[in-house]
Amino acid sequence: MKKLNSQLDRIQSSGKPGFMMHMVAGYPDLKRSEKIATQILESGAALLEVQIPFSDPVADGPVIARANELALKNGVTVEGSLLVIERIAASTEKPILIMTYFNIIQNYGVEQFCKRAAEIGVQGLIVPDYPYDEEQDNSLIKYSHENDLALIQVIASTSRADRINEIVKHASGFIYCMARTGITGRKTDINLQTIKYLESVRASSDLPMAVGFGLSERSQVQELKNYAQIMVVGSALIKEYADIPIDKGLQQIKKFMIGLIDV
Amino acid sequence: MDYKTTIINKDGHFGSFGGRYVPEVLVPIMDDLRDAFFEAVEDENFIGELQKLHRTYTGRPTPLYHCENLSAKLGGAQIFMKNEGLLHTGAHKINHCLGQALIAKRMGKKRVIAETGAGQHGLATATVCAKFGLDCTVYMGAKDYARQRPNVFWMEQLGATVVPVTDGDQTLRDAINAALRDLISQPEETHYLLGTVCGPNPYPSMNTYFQKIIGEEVRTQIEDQTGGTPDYLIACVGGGSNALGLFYDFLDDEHVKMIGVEAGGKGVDGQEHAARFQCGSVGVAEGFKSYFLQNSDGQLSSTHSISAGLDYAGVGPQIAYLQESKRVKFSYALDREVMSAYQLLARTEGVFAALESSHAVAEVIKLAPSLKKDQSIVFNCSGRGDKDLFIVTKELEDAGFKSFLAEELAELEKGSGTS
Ligand SMILES: Cc1ncc(COP(=O)(O)O)c(C=O)c1O
Repeated sequence: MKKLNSQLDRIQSSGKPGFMMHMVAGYPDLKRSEKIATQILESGAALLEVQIPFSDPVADGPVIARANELALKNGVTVEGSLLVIERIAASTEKPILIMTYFNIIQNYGVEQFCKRAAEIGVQGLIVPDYPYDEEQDNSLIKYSHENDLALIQVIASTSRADRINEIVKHASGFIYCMARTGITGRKTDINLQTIKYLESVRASSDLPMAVGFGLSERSQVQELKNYAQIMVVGSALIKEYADIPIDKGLQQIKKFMIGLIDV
Repeated sequence: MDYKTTIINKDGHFGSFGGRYVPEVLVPIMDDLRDAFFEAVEDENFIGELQKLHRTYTGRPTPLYHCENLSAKLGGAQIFMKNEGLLHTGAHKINHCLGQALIAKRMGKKRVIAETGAGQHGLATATVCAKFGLDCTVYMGAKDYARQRPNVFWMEQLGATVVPVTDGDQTLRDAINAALRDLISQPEETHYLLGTVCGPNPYPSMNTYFQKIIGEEVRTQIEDQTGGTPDYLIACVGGGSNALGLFYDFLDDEHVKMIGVEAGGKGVDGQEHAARFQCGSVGVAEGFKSYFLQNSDGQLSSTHSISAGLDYAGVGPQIAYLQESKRVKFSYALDREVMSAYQLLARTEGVFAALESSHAVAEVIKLAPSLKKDQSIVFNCSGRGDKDLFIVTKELEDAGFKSFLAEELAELEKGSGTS
């Protein structure tokens, strides 16, 4: 977690938001996804969240779900994804996080997966279908901890106060706030309710906060930057390079990120 | 033994199975549903309304019928059929649909969503929504949407919106994922009426509760007819709702043996089946931990069965628990065994069983001859077979039906040409 924590410190002291960009390993294929990662990191991302594709990605919206599906159709395996993630992590000082569904981890073996992730230089895990209450039979929090991985806790705008207080007890690294009810990939309007919700999370924890789900525009970032330090962007970025030749796609990523980040 | 208290419980874990593996946004939604459900079943008015509607609307109790001809033909145990096929909409699915619709109403929900494979659960959902004036959206894999046109038509007639899902394999799993995504995006106003004993807590406990009436009725009916309890209970297992419905009341009667029958499809050595306990492993998907057909990476597999209702990669968590604790034994029936079981029941007893239920009949045919004449088997005829008209006529290569369809089509085209 050293790389992660020093990056979080850097973001905090810069006074500007840091960007965590999301991508799917093996989409459109393994080789190209590695190039995409490099481009994202060179274009100003502060953190990179790499998803290992899963057949039933319920928490993802249509854009990311389709990227999962196409990656799997192309024969991408967990091992193949981990090898790409290893190379990406070795190429950068910026923290790399793995996002995937719990079934992938449980099939690999929770302890083995955490060990392996740490070995390949990953700083943390984001597992959207693993609420902390399932820890007893699975020990994902335990093994993340033992392997010095941040297991990022997610809070939703539907989360109630007592639940938020429990969630933050298990949090490490930063706290991931979903900006609205809803799946990833649809544009979010930021309203008073969103702000209130972010403020209530803020009051319950000292960890840095990431806000995501539905971010695509600089105006949204402007509105949110006083309430959270990390902006998460997923579907909007994938849309930029989906279904076009890779060279063009890399240019699009750069253009999109310059437009978004230079606040 | 206290299987019964384990199988319906507020916490939603059954041994290491079950749970509530959902994105955080759904946690409060599932918790509210759990609380509303466990409160409702303590409320006399709620139970009274449910019982009244079972008498006047769905058609309970359903008969327990002694299949004397089939018993004589097989020459062993006495065979009894619990005929859930006589229920309104033709299958046991209406039991949990009615129960959940009453819960949705009680919670003040205006909108109901559901997944469906063959369309049976969707049809039962659309039916109760029409009755209670609830807005209804049914998700259906695009492949199922195309091949189950009759049920799509009926659902639409009942006022439901049927949405074809074009992701993935375009079958039941994709419909479940689409319904979950819908719920995630509009969690407050929506009730997700999930169609079997799968999914996150409280669905497995809740649907078991609404289905257990099957076994409760069987207990009094078999007592009346034989003076005792059955030796064997047999049911097909898709997600597991009709099986748990039959088994639940007898779980703590140690001497009552139970067999669940999975879809063996074209054989369990290949890929075209849905036999989770033969070829699956423990996994977590669609909100719960159980047995799934999946590859070594944990990607869920495509499945096959002649019966659309058993064609699913996962099985309910309580079912996995009962398998692991050896309370229930599991076997499977192949597509071709199912077809001959379907025909045998029709010829001997004059009953068309749904192809799902015919899996249970196939097991009865294997088991009965090895038992004594004073032993009894109760199998669940979870649905009636008329819904399978198109599959069965195709399977039997019925020439008359084919030319009938051709003539109907010609007639339709002629009609539209002249008008
Ligand atoms: C008649 C019938 N029986 C059985 C099933 C399988 O479901 P379950 O295992 O939940 O009873 C279905 C599902 O559609 C069905 O329609």
